[in-house]
Amino acid sequence: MPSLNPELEGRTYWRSLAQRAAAESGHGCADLGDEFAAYEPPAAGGHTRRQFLSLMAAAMGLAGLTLPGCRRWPEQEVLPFASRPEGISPGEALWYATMIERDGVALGVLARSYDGRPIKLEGNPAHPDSLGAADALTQASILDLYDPDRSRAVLLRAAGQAQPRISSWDHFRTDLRQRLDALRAGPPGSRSGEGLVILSQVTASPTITRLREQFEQSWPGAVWRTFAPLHRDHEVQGSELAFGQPLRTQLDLAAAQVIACFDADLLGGHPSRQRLARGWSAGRDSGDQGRMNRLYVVESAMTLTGSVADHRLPLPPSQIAAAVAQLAGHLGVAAPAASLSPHPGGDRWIAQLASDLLAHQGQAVIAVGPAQPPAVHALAHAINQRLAAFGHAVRFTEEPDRGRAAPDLADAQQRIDAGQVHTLVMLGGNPVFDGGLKFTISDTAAGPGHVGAAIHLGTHYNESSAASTWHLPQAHELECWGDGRAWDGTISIQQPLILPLFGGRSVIELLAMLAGESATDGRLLVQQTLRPMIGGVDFDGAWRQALRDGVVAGSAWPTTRPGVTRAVPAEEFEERRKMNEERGGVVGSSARSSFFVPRSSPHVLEVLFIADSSVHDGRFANNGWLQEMPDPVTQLVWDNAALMSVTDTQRLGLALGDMVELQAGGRTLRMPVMIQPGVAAGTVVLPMGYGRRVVGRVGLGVGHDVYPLRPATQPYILALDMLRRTGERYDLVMTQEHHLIDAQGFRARAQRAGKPNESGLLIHDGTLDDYRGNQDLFQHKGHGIALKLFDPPHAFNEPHAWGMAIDLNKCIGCNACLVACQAENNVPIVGKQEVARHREMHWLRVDRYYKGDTENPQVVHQPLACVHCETAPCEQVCPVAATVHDSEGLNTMVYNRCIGTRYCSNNCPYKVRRFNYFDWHSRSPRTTGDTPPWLGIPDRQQAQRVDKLAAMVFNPEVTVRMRGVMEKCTYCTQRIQAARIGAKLEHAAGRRQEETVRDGEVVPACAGTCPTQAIVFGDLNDPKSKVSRLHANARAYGMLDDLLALRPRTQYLAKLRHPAVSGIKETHP
Amino acid sequence: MTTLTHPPASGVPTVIGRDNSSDDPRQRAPLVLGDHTFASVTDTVTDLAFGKPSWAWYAGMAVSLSLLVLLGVTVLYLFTAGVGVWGNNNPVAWAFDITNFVFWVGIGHAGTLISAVLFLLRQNWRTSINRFAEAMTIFAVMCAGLFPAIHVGRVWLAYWLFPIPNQMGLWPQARSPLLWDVFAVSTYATVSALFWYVGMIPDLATLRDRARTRMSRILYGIAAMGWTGSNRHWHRFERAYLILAALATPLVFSVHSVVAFDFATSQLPGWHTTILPPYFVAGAVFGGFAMVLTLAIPARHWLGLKDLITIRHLENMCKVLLGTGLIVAFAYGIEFFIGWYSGESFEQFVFLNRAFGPYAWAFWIMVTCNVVAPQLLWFKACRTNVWVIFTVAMFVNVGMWFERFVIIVTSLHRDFVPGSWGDFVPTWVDLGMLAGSFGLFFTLFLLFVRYLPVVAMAEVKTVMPQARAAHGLERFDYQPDPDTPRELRKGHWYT
Repeated sequence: MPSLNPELEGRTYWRSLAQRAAAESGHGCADLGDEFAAYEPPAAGGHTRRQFLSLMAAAMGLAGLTLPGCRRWPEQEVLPFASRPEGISPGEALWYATMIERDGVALGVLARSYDGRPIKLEGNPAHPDSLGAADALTQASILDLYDPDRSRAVLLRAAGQAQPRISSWDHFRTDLRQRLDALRAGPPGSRSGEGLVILSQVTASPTITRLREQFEQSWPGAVWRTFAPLHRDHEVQGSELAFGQPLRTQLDLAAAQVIACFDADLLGGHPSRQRLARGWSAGRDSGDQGRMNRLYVVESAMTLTGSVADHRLPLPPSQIAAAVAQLAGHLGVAAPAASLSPHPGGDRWIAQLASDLLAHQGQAVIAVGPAQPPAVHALAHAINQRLAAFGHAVRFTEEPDRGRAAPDLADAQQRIDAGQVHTLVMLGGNPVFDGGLKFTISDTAAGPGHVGAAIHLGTHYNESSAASTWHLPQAHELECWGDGRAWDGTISIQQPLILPLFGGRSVIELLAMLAGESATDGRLLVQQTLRPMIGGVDFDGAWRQALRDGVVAGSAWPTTRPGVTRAVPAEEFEERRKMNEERGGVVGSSARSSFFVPRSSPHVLEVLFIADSSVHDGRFANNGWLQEMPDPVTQLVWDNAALMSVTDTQRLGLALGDMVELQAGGRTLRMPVMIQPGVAAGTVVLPMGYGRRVVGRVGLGVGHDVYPLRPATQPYILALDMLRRTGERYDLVMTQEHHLIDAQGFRARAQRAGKPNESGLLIHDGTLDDYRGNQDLFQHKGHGIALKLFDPPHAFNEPHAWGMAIDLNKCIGCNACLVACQAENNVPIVGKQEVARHREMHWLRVDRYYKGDTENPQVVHQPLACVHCETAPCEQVCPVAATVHDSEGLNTMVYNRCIGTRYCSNNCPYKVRRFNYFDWHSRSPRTTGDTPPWLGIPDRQQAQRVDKLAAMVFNPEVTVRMRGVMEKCTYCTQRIQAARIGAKLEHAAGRRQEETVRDGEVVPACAGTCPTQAIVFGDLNDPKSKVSRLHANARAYGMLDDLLALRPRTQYLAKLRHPAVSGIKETHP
Repeated sequence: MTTLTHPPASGVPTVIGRDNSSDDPRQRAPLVLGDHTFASVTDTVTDLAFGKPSWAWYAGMAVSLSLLVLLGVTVLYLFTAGVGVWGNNNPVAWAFDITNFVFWVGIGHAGTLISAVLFLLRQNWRTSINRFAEAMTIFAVMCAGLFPAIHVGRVWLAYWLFPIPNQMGLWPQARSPLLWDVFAVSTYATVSALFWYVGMIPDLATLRDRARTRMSRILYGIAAMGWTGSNRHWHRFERAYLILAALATPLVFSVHSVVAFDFATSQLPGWHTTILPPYFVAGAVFGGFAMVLTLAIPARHWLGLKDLITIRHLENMCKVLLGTGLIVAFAYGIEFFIGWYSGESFEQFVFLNRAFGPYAWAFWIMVTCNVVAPQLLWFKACRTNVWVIFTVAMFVNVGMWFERFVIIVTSLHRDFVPGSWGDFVPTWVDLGMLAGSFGLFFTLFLLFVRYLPVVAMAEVKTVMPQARAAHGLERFDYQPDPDTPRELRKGHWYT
């Protein structure tokens, strides 16, 4: 800034002649933006301390004072904390119920907030799709709020320009008004709004639905299309086929004794997966009483549901329809004849399933996944009706999703191609990337494929933003008001916990702006919607109640009990059959380099597109927690790969990491291959969402984009024309079995995991029948060591003896605990290269073991964190006493004292200790190695090196570890401490008798979010506590305890399997 | 020269040419060859300190200093960036760092064994080699001490390993073998340095007396601590030396036993074995003697010390090498036997995995170098051939490094829970630091041969015939080697 006294001014430096000229002419730095496209003036971009504080203060005021009303406080009205608002203690956590919508379903969450800064999302026990648990994706979405790569400003890209420039909401509003005026006038004879296309994501939000209706009324010529890459079109169309109207299936797995899934990943991929998992686990819980549900899975990929199945039949995608048809035949439901003859044992398998289903009428249910064609869904409805499942395990409600995601997008594309689109508005999402939407911006909008202007609202600048004229920063779900419906229709309100960090707006605010409303207050919009829906007389009271509970009680859709009215059209099945029989192919060269897929032989290859477990449809590509979250089955991180069966890869001579070229319908794709046991022979499974081209620093260029291979007409299942090995290699990084394991290791691993249905050294596992016959089945001990030699057996129990139980029988390997732990404990991410070097930092990992057949293995998921051994081997080897036991049995880690000899890790038999080889938090996960920018004492530098925005997600109750120290699971000691303090305060206030903590008052992050409640924590001193009862269970065992006498405080409960009594051999084609 | 009275008993000469490795028990073979008098021994050694070094010294110094710079750079990089610059990871939390540490500590043992144990056992042949073997010990311990200090994650706090009084009343944790290491290695370094220095005082006085420049006179003078060679001084010296030898002797066994405890007290299969302490001591002597040979053979050639470090010295060391090598080989076998005999599958797996798993190559390098190569030394023809000895010694050096690598890495990379298994791959920093530690070692060693008495002159003189001539007890049938050039015998720098 120039000094007032020109004589006092020092030397002036300039960067370019243009700048100097500007400075001399008095324009200062105004032209910097001209020169540097990415330049953000301080007002829009970075934060000064002053700005940060005012933002925080504003957020605090918002969270504390104005809970029922979120006004955007003008900056000059920020309230100082001179007098503390009632009920708010600085530094103490507050919980707010809100929701996050994904794929048109609202997931209820409780957000934990410190001083106006939300730091963690957990499940809302009152919400039907959460029941207290939140899945990994939902929990990780808080990281997107503080993503340094978030979209920070309104960007305008003029036609013909490559790079956008920073603009403002005011500018946008002016431009929008002009455009809308032009549209309203329109050419003569046209309806108002013709040329305006809105592309929205699939949503069940009542407010968006209301605004859409208003919009369609006021702009009769405009079209509104909805789109989702992971759409449920087939499912909705299937119910239309069966019932004559779109209906949503509400499954209650707790009411089912026999469950059969056909390509349906109910526990891992269903929008209502938390509730379904809870229901399924309820049916496992009774194993100790000798009863358990039985899960049959027919699938092509290896899903989480398949991994916990009691019987699993891998079939290529096109055969699944045949399997359902065959089952229908056995059950006497009219269906086209079908045979699974190419798959030995398949027919018998289905026959067994049919008899089991029939034996459990009223308690049996089948489910079909969204990839299967509508006719299969319709047939499944007929089967469920035959099984008397309606009203018990299956109920129906209305379906807000019109089931037209694919045709809607195709229609939008058609209009663009015809040059009819004047203005295209994309309300969130990324249709350019995940829907293949193509358009070019031109002012005239006349040409085919041209649009006059495209407006994209998004939290991140993505592929669709880059193609658009306007990019508008979207407010994160935690920054704005909104609403949504759970899978069963229950309404939730989305309330902001913090002011938009970068001035983003929500979808409903943009819609209000489009409608020309001057008031675009999200809260008022939501209230307007809900006023007629809830509350009756006392709306304010009902509104407050709903805000507090996170759900509007009793707002679920009423269930209906329709009958299957129509016969299932046979054409669909005929087409499937043809697909298998008619298409001939040419067997290619005998060399392994290339071959053509012959359709009529067992050498058919089909593609199945699935949602990626980490990035979903691509939206989480810039989320480091999720990128580093190993896929629960493949254990792959920071990548996707073409998953193929062992048979196919052996036949084709493909090894892990070989790049292959896939060809279908003239489209090609290059992918690395990963050999995945359990994938059906003849199937290539392609997880979607990777290979983002325009995204932040975390996700850019990670993985391979499979969307180009995916046609809109065949969105999930596709016949492959060719698969060719390119000869290139690609590094795939997994947290387990990074390299193909040698024979030596393979044998040892098999011994430790055990044979199918039998216990191994580490995994205790058996069938329900064996367990019923012998309650001591899982208590076989090794030779054991007399404990008298060491400490008395009941040390470390004053006043509590903390312990944990993990039920392997209920764990589905979903990774929710892993992300919960990461979010709670400020666990850093390290990046692909460092995971390749086995330096991932997860305190809790979910080990996955296979047993038996490589084509169709049994799977065990074993969550493993520090087990808090009473005779902890880590403690006695630490030279500086940095890891010690506390009086309640916690093996504690004193970061301040740790100098990082890493001896504790070497002596830990579970290898659950994690060492900070670098200053992970201050380092980009995409760099290799570390670039040291400083020479001072690192102890004092971390705070300056961590990104200020990224640091906002840190849990203030947990130390952020620096480089050079060891860390590990603490049983969430901060939560224990909080419960202890709470108990003492209550005791002091005379509100409770005892000073100690009661069972259930301490819930570690992992246990709290487990959808199946497989993880239980509590006090072992209390014989009535849940964890004590589980430790006393006949299935409980301490891993390695018999060998090493570690007396771990975490005990595992053996896994039970429940194969059919008559016994059908597991088989594979 | 005094006349020698008795004729040879058999008429067989004990020395033929330069070969004094005669095994004839009736005769004591000479330990100093050449036409040496007390004065010529002094000349030979002091000329090394005052003469002009040869090109070989400069070349060696250039290489060593380059490696030392590499060490400095890698250590600085490590300090600024974090220990992640190494390839260590979560299952394999120790790798090159501790491998190098154990390797270098082991190297040191031969020096102490030669200087203390052989002294107490009255093995006179030690006199020619003990000085530089001890020097090797000191330098090896310096290299060894470097690694535990820099391997910790927060290197600026490494001093917390020492029991330093502090306001928090926090002391190191006495149950940890790492703490035992701290005491064992620091005691060892102290005693070794003291022993080395005390033994050097008479020779430093000789250098002081012969120094040509004022500066060297002052420095050697300070180092000689006023040594006059009086009987009282000699008496005190002999007593002190004996006591220090007695003190140093248990350290030979204790230090590497304690280092072995780092592994043996843990409960990791492959580490958790009671055989480790004796096995490590034997291995340390084995590896140390190999390093002494590695240094002695070029040194006696380039420094012209073939008369003082004779083939008999080399042969004796070969015998030690063979003997300890056999102990090591036995230990390898016993580990496998116990693995099998325990009936414990985790134990069995770790040894099978060593021999046939992903690091089988390292294991078989170890076996080839440590078990197979020393078997050559059964043959006298091999024990007296410097090329063979040098080759075997180099094999053992490599093998002993790999032994530690195998013990550490193969045990860690696949332990109990397969879900945590992972491989270790060294980075350039790992390799650079290993090479750099050799730079430090050789730089110090080259400075030593340049400025300090390489051979214990005073001690060597006591084993020369002249020392006992007055008693008339010994005689040598000595035939001067006509091939030996005069300047070599005089101890000029020989290139």
